[in-house]
Formats: sequence, C-alpha cells, structure tokens
Amino acid sequence: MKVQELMERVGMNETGRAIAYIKDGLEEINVIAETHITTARIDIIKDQRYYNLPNNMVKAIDIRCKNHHNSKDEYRSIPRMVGNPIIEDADGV
Amino acid sequence: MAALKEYAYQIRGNQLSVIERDAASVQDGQTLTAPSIDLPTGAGTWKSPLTAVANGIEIEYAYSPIYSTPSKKIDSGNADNYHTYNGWFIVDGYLTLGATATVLTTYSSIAVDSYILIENSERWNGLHKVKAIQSIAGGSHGGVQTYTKVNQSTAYFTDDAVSWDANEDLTSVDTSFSEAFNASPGDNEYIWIAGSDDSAGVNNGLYSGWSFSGTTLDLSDGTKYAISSGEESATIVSWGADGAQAVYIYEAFRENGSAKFYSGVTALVDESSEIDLPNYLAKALVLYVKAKMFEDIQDIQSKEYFMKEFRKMIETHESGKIWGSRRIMAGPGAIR
Repeated sequence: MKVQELMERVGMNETGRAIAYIKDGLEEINVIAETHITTARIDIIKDQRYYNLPNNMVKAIDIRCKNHHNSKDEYRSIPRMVGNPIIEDADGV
Repeated sequence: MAALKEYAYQIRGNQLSVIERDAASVQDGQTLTAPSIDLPTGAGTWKSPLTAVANGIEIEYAYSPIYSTPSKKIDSGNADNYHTYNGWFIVDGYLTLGATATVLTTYSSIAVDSYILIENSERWNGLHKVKAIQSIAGGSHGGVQTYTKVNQSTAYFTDDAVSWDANEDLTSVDTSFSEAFNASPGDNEYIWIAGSDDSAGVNNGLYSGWSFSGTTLDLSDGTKYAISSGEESATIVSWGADGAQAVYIYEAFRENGSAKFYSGVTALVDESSEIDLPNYLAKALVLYVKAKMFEDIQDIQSKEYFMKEFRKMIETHESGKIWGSRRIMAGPGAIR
C-alpha cells in the first residue's frame, strides 16, 4: 500500500502528518508483532561490560553469544541476569 | 578449538551489559538468580568479559520498516550503492562515517539530502540522511556527515600547519594535542586523521597505536585500518610526504570491519512511498492512523474504538500464521 492510498482511506490531506503517524504505527506494529527482524553482531572487548544497542531497534528478540556453553563457535542464547554482579565494571563505560 | 564460555546479560538504559563467568575465580561467587549469595569455592564469579571475541555478541531484534532495502549494486563504474566504512566520528555534533583512503565522493548515489542505510554497525544500523560529503583528500573530515545528532562528547584537535613525513611522523603538531588525546593510548582507542591532500588522500583514515612527544605525533608503530575490495584490514602505516597542511584529528570509533551502508535508499518521505507491510497489516495501519486523528481532536471514545480494532487485526494476523488445533494438556502434577 502506498502512503497516498492510506491517506485516501483515512480521509487525510496533510502528508507530513500522515507520514509521522505511519512511522509511529510501524513502530507500534513491530513492538506488538514483529514483522521485520534483523540481527547485528558486536565485538566483545576484553573488560568492556557495556555495549550500545542498535540505533533502529524497537524490540529485542534474542541475545546470543559465541561459544556460550559450547566450543564450536556456535551462537547460543544467553540468560538475563537477575540482580547485579558483585564485581562492578572497572571503568563503567 | 575455541574455549567454552558462559555469559549473561542485563539491560542498562540503551546499553547492553554483558558479563562472563570466571570459573577460575574462587571467591564471592553468585548465582544468576541470587546475586548476594556466595557460592562454594570453585563456582566462579561474574565479571566483565575476560577475553576479546570478534563478533561475539549477536542481537536479534525487530525494527521499523521506514525504508525499502535496495539491492546491492556493485559495478565497475561509479554507480555502486553498497559501500564499506570502517569508523565513525562526530563532526559538529553529527554522526560522520569514514572509510580510510576511500573516495566516496565519486559515487553518484551518495548525495547531499539523500538517504543511506547502515547495516552491520555496532550502533548505527538504520536510516540516516546525508548532510555533507567530502573528498578524502584535503577535506576537514573526508567522510559522509549525516543529520544524525550524537549526544556524546568526543575529542577533536586541529592544527593549521603540520607536516606528514615519510617516517610516518606528523611533525610541528601543537603541544595542545595531548590535552585532547592520550599521549600513549590503549588498545581500543582510535583516531580519524583528515587534511592531507597527498596522493588522493592516502594519508587520511583510521589509525590506532600512536604516541605523542614534543610536537611529533608518531605513527611508525601504529596501525592503519585500510579498506580494500570492500574489506577492512589492519596494515602498517605508510605515508606519503605532505608539508604545511592543516590537520583535523577526531576521536573515532572503529566498526567491526564489516560495517556497510547502502546509498540512494528510498525512504518513507512522500505520498508515492510504498509502505513495507503485508496487505492485512497495512489495513491495521489505517486504523492506527484513524485512531491518532481522533486523539488529536480529543474524541477519546472513537480513538479507543479504532485502537481496539487495530490491536484485534494484529492479533488476528499473528494467530493466522499458526496452523492446526491448539490443545492444553494437564501437567503431571494436576489434580484429576
């Protein structure tokens, strides 16, 4: 469906406003029912605890690490830790 | 064979916190669910990652389809729309992509006010709009500057007359360089150098491993992250002599070597743009926009009606993908 058809169905004639709502709606749809999924890979850096999440992420589906519970270079889902580790990150970045 | 590891994660704001179990550590251990309880000797402790692992974290996530992903076009001319970049830095507060010694200005599809789509980045995946593009040779940044604002303070240094010499030294550098950057950086510190116009800008690009003493920035033992045939490789530094030039040095962040971007991307910008959704969900989107319109005029009852219909259509679409009967069985401990 094109933006124009959606605007006609809704009865709207302000393109900028329509596109803003469409973008909101696309995000909402992907939060409720993921239609567009992708993966990103990040290097693990020794002693670095915090990593930025992808800029365009609206919902995390799975987080996997290489060699987690295996030694075959497979990516496997890692668990979410409840509570905080006793050992704080040295530099906090 | 790689060693077996054990990881866990937490979410901290917009960051992912990754920790690894150090099995060799013998005190103050803890479980995943009870962090304050010490485990017996030998159970290990949770720490920041113990070793570096290339592409070690894989995040699967949903994104909003506000663009159409184009095909990867690589040709012998300058019509390519798929490019490699290996670092990013901040110019005047805006995200700027850099590709070492690569002349991105020759590609026709990278134009001011056009859209690019980044993939395989550690942070910047998604759509960005081009603000400016500079030739790698002689420019003040030599990269692709976007309209994406970055709320982060990074170091920047400029000097109006330095010399690149054949010993891979940058000489006559003002002593204030060491106020912005470490004189002897760590392993994960990078700089983006721009300004030289020697040999199509071969001196410009992403570097690490510098040292600074007196008025000399020494890169003879450093690493240059070069790009060739769409791949990044770490090389020894080899400069062409270039005298009395302005230099622009930015604190930079290296991508993992496989970061790419598409240029000439079609974004959702006008009435002719196609919405990338299945037909059924496109109709749900119509309901969402209607709900928003009623919300604007404070007609909350109508807004709630359309939002209810919107959610119902999404749920119907979800359940429509599941085939067969659904059964709930009593568990083994159930009362009969």
